[in-house]
Amino acid sequence: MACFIVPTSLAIITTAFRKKFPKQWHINWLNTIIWGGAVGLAVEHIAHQEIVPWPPFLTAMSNPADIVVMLKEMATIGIPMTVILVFAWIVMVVVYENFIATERLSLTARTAVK
Amino acid sequence: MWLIVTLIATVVVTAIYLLLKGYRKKYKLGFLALMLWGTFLMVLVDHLIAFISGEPFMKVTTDGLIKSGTMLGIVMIIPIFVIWIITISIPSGTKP
Repeated sequence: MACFIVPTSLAIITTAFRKKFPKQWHINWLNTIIWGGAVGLAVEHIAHQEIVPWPPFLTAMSNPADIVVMLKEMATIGIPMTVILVFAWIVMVVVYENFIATERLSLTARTAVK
Repeated sequence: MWLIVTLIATVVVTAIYLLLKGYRKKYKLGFLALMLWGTFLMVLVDHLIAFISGEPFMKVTTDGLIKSGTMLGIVMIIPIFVIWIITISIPSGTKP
């Protein structure tokens, strides 16, 4: 119902504090991945009538019984979703910093020597 | 089906990013690709967990406002492309 709120909450924090992260972490990659996904999933949730453009915005919030289901979904889907996105970002950063960036650096050094 | 649509969009844009090196920065292809990867991964996790719970992995139709799964996938990625178009339309160095 509102599973994407979990990664979006992380994105709010990482976006707000993006300048505090080391440049090599490429935190904007994570922000872009999560915000892009949040936009797509928000459209999907609107199409499934789980989100409405008026308060309480989440249709599950109107019914106390649905709130429990919503919180359970946020835990069972939202947390794994966040973990997968963060993992994908980590893989991207590790591959880029250890292989692509170093290759470019050595190519630049070789060009400078010539 | 919306998983397939997002996957196709993601793969195509990623391929364009990898092939058109000279246009990456100008058209912010990496930005578009990352947004689509995010959408695809989120939808994939959603589908996988639903499948583990006993629901079918792929649904052709939905019971929401958009009945066709394919059309839902297309509608999902339209805002992402709109954001990308707006981003590349803003000249570099312009502050909002």
